[in-house]
Amino acid sequence: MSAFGVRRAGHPVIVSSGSTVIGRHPGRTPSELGLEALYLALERISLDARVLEGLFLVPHGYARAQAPIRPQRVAEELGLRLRALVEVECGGASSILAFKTACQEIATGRLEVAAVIGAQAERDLFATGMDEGDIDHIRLLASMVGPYVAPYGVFTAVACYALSAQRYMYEHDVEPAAVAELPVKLRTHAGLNPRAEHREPITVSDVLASRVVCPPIHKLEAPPWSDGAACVIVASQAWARRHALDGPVLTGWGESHDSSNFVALERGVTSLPWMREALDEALGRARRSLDDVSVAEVYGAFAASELLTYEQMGLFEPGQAPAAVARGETSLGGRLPINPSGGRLSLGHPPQATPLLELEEIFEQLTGTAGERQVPGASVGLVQAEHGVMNGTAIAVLET
Amino acid sequence: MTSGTPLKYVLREMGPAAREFYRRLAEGSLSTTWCSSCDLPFFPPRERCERCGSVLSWRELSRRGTVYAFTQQERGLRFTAPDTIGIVELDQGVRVFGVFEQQFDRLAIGAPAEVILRSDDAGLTLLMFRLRQ
Repeated sequence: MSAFGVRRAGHPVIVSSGSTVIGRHPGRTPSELGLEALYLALERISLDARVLEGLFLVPHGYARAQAPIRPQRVAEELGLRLRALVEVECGGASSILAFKTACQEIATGRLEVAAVIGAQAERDLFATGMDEGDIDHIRLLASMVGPYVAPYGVFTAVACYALSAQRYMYEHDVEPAAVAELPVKLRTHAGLNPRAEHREPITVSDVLASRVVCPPIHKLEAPPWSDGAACVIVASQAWARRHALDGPVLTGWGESHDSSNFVALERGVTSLPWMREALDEALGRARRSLDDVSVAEVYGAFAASELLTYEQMGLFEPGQAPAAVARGETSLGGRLPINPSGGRLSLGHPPQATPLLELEEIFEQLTGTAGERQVPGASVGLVQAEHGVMNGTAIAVLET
Repeated sequence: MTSGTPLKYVLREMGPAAREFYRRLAEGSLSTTWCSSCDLPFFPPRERCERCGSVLSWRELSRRGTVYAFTQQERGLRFTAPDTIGIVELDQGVRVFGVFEQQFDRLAIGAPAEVILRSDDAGLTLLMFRLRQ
């Protein structure tokens, strides 16, 4: 077994990564942020964009209307002739799936080096008002949640996550203060991450005193809708050797998607067996067990959903994640550090770039370049991303 | 926004199962698809059984159940905010999404509820949940 094929030699290597400041970039476009991240990734390895054979992109956000064939416009801007050019879309999982697509091209031997770019910049998009076209685009966006939920005025994922959070807390008798421990711990990690959007320490009382966005979700249990971009460069092992580059290798890949869209009515909004299936596949392909994992990045769009995801992946028994987090088991220095980046709640969350930011964190952890966040001796890393309201997931195992 | 327009794309993208669900609802029938071989309901409705592959048929659902989950939106695209929305589990175990008649702080998980059909300005009949005594 291997991530995709049968030969270990086919394993793609992440040779570099780059990302912009995560936060606000008023007046800038996702494409320009994406190119900034690409240039930072190239600069890290002192190479020119002309080495790239493929560009794997994702749609540049949600609220910003976009015309088709954006990859071609990006190629034009870069002045590159390419052997692979595509945009991959599946909600928040888009960029990890674009990464997979690039890695498959490397693994089959068709390409030797490619860049994967995700970018989003729409936080202040409507600051100067919305015209009829903008409003129409929001209506289009609202139809994303499907014919059985959208007619009730639900047009973002927050309300759907709130229902899952309420059930999770109800089913396991989890107190609000126990959920609030997670944002506090993530903020501690973010305090060590220069690229994190929110770095000042917070307490459980701060979390519980923050505004209720959609009960039971407090503001500090929700991610900022950040602007930002990230890029990873993947290559064959032979190409990496020729360029005297090293990096973590993709050894495992797992993926599982439920049939539900947004509100998993049939499954009951807290049962996500596809999380465990994807993790088992990924670890199985890598011939690893959970005990081998040194560090993980988990998507975790909201505090309760992040705790639920830990449990549904099988990292903790059902209902046990909040206590484990409170004991510091997932903190830097703990048994399994999760989201050393600060996670979505504190690093910031530009969904179209988020999985690449997760990959970047694991890239830095496994190359010993994570600075104050470094997990000593990290050698096996995990990246989990999802789409919709945890309706499906993709998980990568990376190793030095 | 003019009447009905918030649902423009929802309506345009509806597949045959959703169109049939709302057509039946407009006629006063809350129903979904069932597999007669497995004796299982499926909601959202679909064409074939995910277990045995049989073509499903439509059957009326109970209008009584219990509150399964609920939340409140500060900003909804439709109802006057704050609206209380969520899930009711009907007696056959089918869970449906809708809007609650009662305010958020009157609700509790497990409370008995019933489904009232309510016509809406987009031309759809929607599910409203009312607490039962």
